[in-house]
Amino acid sequence: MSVLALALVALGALVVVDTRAKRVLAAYVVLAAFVAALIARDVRGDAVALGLFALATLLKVVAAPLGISWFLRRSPEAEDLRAAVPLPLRVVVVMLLVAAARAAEHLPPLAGLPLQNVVAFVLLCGIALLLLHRTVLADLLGLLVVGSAVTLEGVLAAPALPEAVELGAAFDVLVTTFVGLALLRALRERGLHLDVDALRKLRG
Amino acid sequence: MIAAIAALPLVFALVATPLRDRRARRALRIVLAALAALAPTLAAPHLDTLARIFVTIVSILGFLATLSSLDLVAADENGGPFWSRISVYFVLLGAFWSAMLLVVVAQSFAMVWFGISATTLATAFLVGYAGDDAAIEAAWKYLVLCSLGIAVALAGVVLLAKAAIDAGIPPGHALAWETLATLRAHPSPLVHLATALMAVGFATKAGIAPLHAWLPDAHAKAPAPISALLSGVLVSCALYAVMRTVQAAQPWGDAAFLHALLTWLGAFSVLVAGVLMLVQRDLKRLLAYSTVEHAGIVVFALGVGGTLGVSAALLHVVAHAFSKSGAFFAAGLVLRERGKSAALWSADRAGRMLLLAFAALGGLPPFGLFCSELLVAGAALAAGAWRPLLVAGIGVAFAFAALAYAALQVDAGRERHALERRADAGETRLAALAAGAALTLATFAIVLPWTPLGATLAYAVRGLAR
Repeated sequence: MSVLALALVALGALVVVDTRAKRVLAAYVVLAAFVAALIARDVRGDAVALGLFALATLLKVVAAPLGISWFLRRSPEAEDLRAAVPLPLRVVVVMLLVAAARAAEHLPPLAGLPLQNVVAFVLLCGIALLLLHRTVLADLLGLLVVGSAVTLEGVLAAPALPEAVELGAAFDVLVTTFVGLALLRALRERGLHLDVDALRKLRG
Repeated sequence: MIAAIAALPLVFALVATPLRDRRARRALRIVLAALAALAPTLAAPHLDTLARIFVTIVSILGFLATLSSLDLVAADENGGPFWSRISVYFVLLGAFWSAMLLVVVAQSFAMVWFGISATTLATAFLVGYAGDDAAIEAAWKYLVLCSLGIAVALAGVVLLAKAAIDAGIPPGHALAWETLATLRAHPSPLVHLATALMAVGFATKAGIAPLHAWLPDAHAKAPAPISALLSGVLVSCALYAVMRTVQAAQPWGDAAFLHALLTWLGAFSVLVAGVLMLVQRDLKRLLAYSTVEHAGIVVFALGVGGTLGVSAALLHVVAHAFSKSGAFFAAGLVLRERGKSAALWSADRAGRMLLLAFAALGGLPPFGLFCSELLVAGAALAAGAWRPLLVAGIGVAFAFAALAYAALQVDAGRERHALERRADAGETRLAALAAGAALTLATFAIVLPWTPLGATLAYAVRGLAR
């Protein structure tokens, strides 16, 4: 496994195991920056492609993390992502995800595509972050990690379409982060708990 | 050109916003909404027949939702400056309409994905418009589940692009319907995975179980005209994306996996919705679960496939869009007159409309859903899919029982409250007009096969069921 793949796996594991929002956010930023660097290789020289790439990178690597940091400064209670299961169990989950990702690499549809085990691992880590932590901020970070995995898959599977993949992923980040932060702010202003258990009263 | 057509509802909503005079603003909104509804049909003759059917649904229901909003939402606030909540509501409604229009006038999966994703941007705020705790929580659930679904769909779109490029299509055209339709390629496991991810991702936005959890909360908390658009149009647009996915899988020959997945997802969805409808006591939640049921029937019909299955799916989408929107418009009237979204659902005139809507949604003749449900059952039997048909049939029976019980409650409420009508009920004329128009169109859906629109439907079926 290359150094890049190992780094991506380490970042994925961190977002599942850690419960501090700032560290998980930092892991997401590094992950998004890695993916942007991979895309940069395939971006053609024309102005539209470069402009889209710059805009998408700015949104994913700078604007979204800044927005979340701003929210964290105003809501210190959101720093704890409130793990739903204890640390040893989260470590076991990470090991299971590694096994699942290795199995995904051998699936017939993905045969021949590079780094599919890493993509699958990052994707599963994003979903695990959504499921194993109980705050709405963990939901938001989980969606961003899932978005990074999808972008990575786009870069690896369809390198001829970097602009389309970037535009899609950037729009996803835009919707998730800024609508999400607006709703988080509304929840906080109303004095509502940021724990998802408190949000389940509507379930029918 | 496509982007300009799709942007019209949003642009028109912005144009009407700065007017200070309330009556002038109201009149301008009606005129501009009518123009926005007519423009796509006149300005986009290049669209294929399937897209034209959905453009008609989006345009008619977008216009009716604007009319209904003028009464049901605007009446709650007295004018105010152009940056007031009500102005923001109409701008978000325009943005929602534009995003849905983009989905159906798009010529490629990239634009469809973009349009479906853009609907989240506008509707998350519309779902939370009421501003109470439950509305914001519903908006949050909507955002999380739909964003996850959209990410899954994007992964599918990327893999489909990879398969198309591998099959020799130039990268710039890898996701366009026109190019994909001309392709002849060998069965590919990558396409199976891509189309399955796309179908599941887009189906999340259609509220297919088990990814339906956002839908009842969002529909229950959104203003009634927005619930009508969510159920009648957004769900239809998501189903349109699923139909295009089925179409995209055909050039690779073997689409049996996708068909089996859709058949069972659809049947499961109908059963889950039917069971949950039995325990609902809130009017809008009941209608929301009914949407899950009907979306399930459409996905089931697409899974069964063949000319009959696809015809049934298309007819069901059209009939459901109008029936459900009519039901939500009527529910808006009832709730405005009774003031709450629970029990004792009736007021006099609105109650009658609600009864009609329940009859339409229950699949009683002469409403279009009667015809389409018969066709779905016929298609499933012809395809030998009797096991999923049995599962779906039980769900439909439960749903019918829930609607029949609700209709009895409405009827009882009508008698009890006939003398308590509010003095300002006359202010809801436009909302009543919208509900009546939608329900009339739902009735006409049954004669679709024998009308010029029926011929359009037949062309669309030929394209989908090759």
